[in-house]
Amino acid sequence: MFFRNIVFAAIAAGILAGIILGTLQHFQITPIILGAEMYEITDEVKPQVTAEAHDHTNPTHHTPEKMAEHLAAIDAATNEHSAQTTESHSGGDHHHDPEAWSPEDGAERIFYTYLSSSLMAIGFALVIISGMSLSGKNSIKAGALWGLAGYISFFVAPTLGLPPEIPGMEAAALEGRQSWWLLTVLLTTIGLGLLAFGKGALRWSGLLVITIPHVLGAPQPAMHGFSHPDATAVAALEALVGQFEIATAIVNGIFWVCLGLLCAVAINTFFKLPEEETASST
Amino acid sequence: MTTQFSSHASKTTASVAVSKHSQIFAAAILGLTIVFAVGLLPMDAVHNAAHDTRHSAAFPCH
Repeated sequence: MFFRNIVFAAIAAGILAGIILGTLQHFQITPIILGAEMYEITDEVKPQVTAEAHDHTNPTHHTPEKMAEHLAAIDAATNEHSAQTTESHSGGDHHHDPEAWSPEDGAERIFYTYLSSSLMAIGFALVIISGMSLSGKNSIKAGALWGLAGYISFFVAPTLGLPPEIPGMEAAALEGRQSWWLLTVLLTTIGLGLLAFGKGALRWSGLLVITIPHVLGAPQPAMHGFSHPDATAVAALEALVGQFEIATAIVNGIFWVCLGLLCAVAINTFFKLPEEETASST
Repeated sequence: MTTQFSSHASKTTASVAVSKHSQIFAAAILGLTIVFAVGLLPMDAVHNAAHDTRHSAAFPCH
């Protein structure tokens, strides 16, 4: 049965790509997320580092000794904070039930990251393999192009409007961002589809379709950056965001190209495309 | 007899082709459902489990 073949091929490609993604994430991205979570604060708990001595207009303020003091104070405050909020990682406008289950930091959290990466990769693989089956092309080159298209649709286009976020970053309401994200992914996919498979004028209308969500514009927060009360923490978080944007762009790029290639290999290993079967039978 | 056979055969080929398209479509829908469950489902437990993956794939989170 054809459906079963697609599912098997997608599971094989997805698990391998998920392991690649999970590993890249573990070493390149999760440390940045954990670093940002150090600075997460709830409304009730504010770090005690914004005391009277904290005057940024004073030129002697940011001497190496003072910086060490600041960092020690922030560490103490965030440790105190994390002791109180280990059960939830809520911050800013992010209101999740603190009683809700969440994986323990360490092995359990890593396991769920691998699991969710693999599931997501299987989902993407199902879409890519379905698309490749429909188009009837299953070469390695076609696989790489499908991977690249996935990267553009699911990562590059949405992040042009909604840059990758680390915990604690100010952002517009979640529903609005999710709707814009969905619209962007959908229109970019349709646009790339038109560019790849359309004929004549229809083909170039793909470019127009891709630009629509960016003309509409992504929902923006009232303020950008971080609302953390301490300037040192904000500077540290801003440095983390810079690293995070580069790391996610590289990791997702590697993931998508690997996924596309693995999908092509999986199709060639698990089943023949319908067009090939008809071609060989006639 | 021959004509009956060939018309039957062409009908079968046609229905196989339709069935293949619907199966491809079903597989794609299944894939998108999984992606949205991992990436966008607001349930707390799902959000917490997939938290780091959502952030690194730049899905809207928090």
